[in-house]
Amino acid sequence: MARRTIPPISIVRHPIYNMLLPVPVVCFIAALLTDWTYLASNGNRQWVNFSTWLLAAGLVFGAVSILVLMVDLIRGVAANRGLGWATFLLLLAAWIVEFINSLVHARDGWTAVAGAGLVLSIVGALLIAIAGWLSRDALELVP
Amino acid sequence: MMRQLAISAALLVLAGCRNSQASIDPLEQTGPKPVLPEPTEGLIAAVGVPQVVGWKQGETPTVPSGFRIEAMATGLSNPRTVYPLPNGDILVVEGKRVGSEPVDRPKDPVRRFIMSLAHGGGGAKSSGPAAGPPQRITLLRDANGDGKVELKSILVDHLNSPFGIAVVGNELYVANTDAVLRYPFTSGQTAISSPPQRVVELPGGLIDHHWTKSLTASPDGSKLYAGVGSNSNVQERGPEAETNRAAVWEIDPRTGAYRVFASGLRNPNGLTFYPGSNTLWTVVNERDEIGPNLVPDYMTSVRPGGFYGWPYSYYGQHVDKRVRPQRPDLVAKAIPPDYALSSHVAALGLAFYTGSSFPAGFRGGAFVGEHGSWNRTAYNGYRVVFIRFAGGRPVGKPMNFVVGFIGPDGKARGRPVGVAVDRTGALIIADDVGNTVWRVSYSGDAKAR
Amino acid sequence: MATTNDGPHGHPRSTAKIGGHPIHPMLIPFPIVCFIFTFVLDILYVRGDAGVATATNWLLIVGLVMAAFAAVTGLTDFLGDKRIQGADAVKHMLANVTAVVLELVNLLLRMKNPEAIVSPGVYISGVVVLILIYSGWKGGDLVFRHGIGVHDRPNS
Repeated sequence: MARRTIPPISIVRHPIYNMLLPVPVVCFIAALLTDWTYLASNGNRQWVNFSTWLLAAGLVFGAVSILVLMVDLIRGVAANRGLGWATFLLLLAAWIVEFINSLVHARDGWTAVAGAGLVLSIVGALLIAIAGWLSRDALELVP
Repeated sequence: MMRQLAISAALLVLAGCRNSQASIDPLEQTGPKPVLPEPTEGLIAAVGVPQVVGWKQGETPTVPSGFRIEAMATGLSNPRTVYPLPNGDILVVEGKRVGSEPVDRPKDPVRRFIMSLAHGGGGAKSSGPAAGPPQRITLLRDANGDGKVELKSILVDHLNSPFGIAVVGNELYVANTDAVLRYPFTSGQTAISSPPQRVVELPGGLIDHHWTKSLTASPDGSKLYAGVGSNSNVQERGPEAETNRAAVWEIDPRTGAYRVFASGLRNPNGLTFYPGSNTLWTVVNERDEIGPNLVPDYMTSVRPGGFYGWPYSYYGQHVDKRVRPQRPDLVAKAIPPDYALSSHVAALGLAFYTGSSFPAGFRGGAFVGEHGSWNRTAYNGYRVVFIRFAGGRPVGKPMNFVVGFIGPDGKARGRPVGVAVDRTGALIIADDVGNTVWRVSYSGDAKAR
Repeated sequence: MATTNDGPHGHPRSTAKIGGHPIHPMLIPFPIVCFIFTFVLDILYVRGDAGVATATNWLLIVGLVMAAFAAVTGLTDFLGDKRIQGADAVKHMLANVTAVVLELVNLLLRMKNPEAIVSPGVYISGVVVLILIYSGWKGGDLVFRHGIGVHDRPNS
């Protein structure tokens, strides 16, 4: 079996990026679902509160994932450099979209989600799902 | 000033070009038919909070020529309400909120930090003792009416975020944030040692978003009226948190029985009866975060059983689309208020001029203490205004009566809250972040209005 | 030219795949995040915030449903390639099954009475988080050490 020469940042051979990335993926996708449920429930505030916390968690862990990925890419970890940076850009785009989304979601009441909030949630969830998918091909997994 | 400018600039950039409301003159939003633009919600609510620096020695607010203003008492601890007694004593309620609202969403700690800056936290100097909040009523004695206090004593201590008080006969009623208390009190007393009796519980609780409970008595002393503010901006904490809130309560002081006298008033304060009438008036702080010019705070008479719109609508039938589920039936019967004061002035104090030492044009008019704005980059409020009344109704535009609470450097020396008229006909003002009680008297020389 | 040669001479292959990507690792983050959030909210409930009880019910339900899907794909992979059927995979599976059973009990208890969150609810949630740390780490071993589902590189 051929081995990659440059391993990604890892803890006991578990790459940190691969461990972190699922968190924003789950959070941003889940936030879309809670947004949709909020609208469907005609404004039951528990759902939009859920969304805001999911977005916050996704942004925090997403930021760390982006940093780790950037370091990995610069160090030349990617099996496919082009795909690696494409993944990075998608991840960054998802983060920016969801950051703006979190500001919209901070509004009081219905307009936190209806309109811009839902659209941004859809876009952000799509972007991070694609980024997650591409991650696997861009960064080869050892061994 | 620089720090505040920098924060505002950054927020404006982030908020994007959305400020179609910027060009409205606040005076267009005063009176019975204020200009109401379309709601705008940017990415971040506009925030403009002046740094609090307190009053330097000898520094005072500014009053029109012919009047003079002096500090009756300084070094107080967040004075909010002033209540002059017929014998010349003035009761000053010093109180603050205790604790902070539970965190419901990530926005809450951020909001809390910004509000603390506005109230003199965050390292700003203030002219009084800084420490943790006395919750008490201080008595100021000025027996000869010259504006100099001969005696200062603590009348009642260990209250729980008090705000409104009323003396009826030989009893002092205090509205803590969670209850109305009754103390025995006779004129001349400087300290009360008897324990209070609890008249009725008021909605307090962990959130207690609008914690100030204004209080007044009916002219015949048979009923008390308490202002109970809402527990949120626009019901975003759910309708369960708003039971019996955003309302004026009518309370029987003997039995503690109460009913909701009027509702849909987001944060009613300054409850006062118009002199010589049975009409209750209030100043109300309307909602935030739909633009720097929405929604104007107002002064209004309070109709028994009236519904004034909150949270579903404002100024009658202007629907707030942030509130779901909607209630078109309630919107249809919402009463538009009598007199708008322009947006985000945070009117907290109201007093009708019953004295005779000011020029005749002031008789029967209203003084309003405007605590000042946070939801605008261009400050509004931070002053005491005067509105003339004719035939028991407000007329004309408000006149700036006491200004200078924000200095030319854009920093706040003080912020006016409660206003009252003492037995000499002077205007007494409680200035909370300036920790001062001011007295405005008329010394002649200017032509009467 | 790269070939995905997940054959008997390459890495152990995943059977449940879509577009060449193993499904099981895509699904497991959902129950993990749900169950961790449940524990966090349980702590808030114990500290006095009664409003979160309904939210924890939803988190457990969603977590269990996603765990069921993850379990199906995981079992498919386990049965689909003998090389996966080693000690690490078995430990991973047993730990996850334990976690799921515990959370099912957790959910049933609190649906009967929200006060169950205080005891034993929050403790179950806490134990499950510990189990997930263990099983998650084992899952990482399965991928990063044993190479399950990893593309083979063409022989140089």
